[in-house]
Amino acid sequence: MERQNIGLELAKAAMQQNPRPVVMLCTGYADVLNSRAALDLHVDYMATKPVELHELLSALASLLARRAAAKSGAR
Amino acid sequence: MKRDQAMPVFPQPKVALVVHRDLAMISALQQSFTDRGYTVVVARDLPVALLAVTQHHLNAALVSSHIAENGDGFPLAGIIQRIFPEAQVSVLARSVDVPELLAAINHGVRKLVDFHSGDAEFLVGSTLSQSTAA
Repeated sequence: MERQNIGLELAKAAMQQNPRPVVMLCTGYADVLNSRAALDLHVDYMATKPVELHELLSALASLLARRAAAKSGAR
Repeated sequence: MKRDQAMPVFPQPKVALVVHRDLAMISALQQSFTDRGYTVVVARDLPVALLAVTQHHLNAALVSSHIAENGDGFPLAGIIQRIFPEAQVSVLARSVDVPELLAAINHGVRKLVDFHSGDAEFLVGSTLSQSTAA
């Protein structure tokens, strides 16, 4: 299996789950093509390596808070 | 009108927000949205754009990536998308490279349109072609 876009493939599969999980991509090789693909996929976050753990945690906290707010607003 | 008669229901016009510094660009985009039946609200800076977000129910928005400074259109577009999840929101960028794409993703923007990819008609068409998601 070609493993070049395995992260995007995994993200796509994850986003089809119900409930949809928060999907964050970390890549060591961000080019226009795969970044465009990630945007079209509507992933929640994308970072280029090296990435600091606190950056990921902060983004995750923000995404989860946003999701919780959207959920409570929809009730 | 009699009490038991149903009130006529008029369809609400769709509203589009255009945020750009350049007046000529605003005018061209406004015309294109108007031709498609949208009521258009325009803003040339962030405070006016934010005010528009509080005063209108937006169905579409086309926001320049560079309003007062480079990249400030991304957070604005992300806010609009979060407030109006079903709206078709695009950021208009002078270049579509990795930093712009990452900024779009990380601000919750779903569509990034290259300023050079076509005229106002194309840019508006591209914005309105995206599937809506709630």
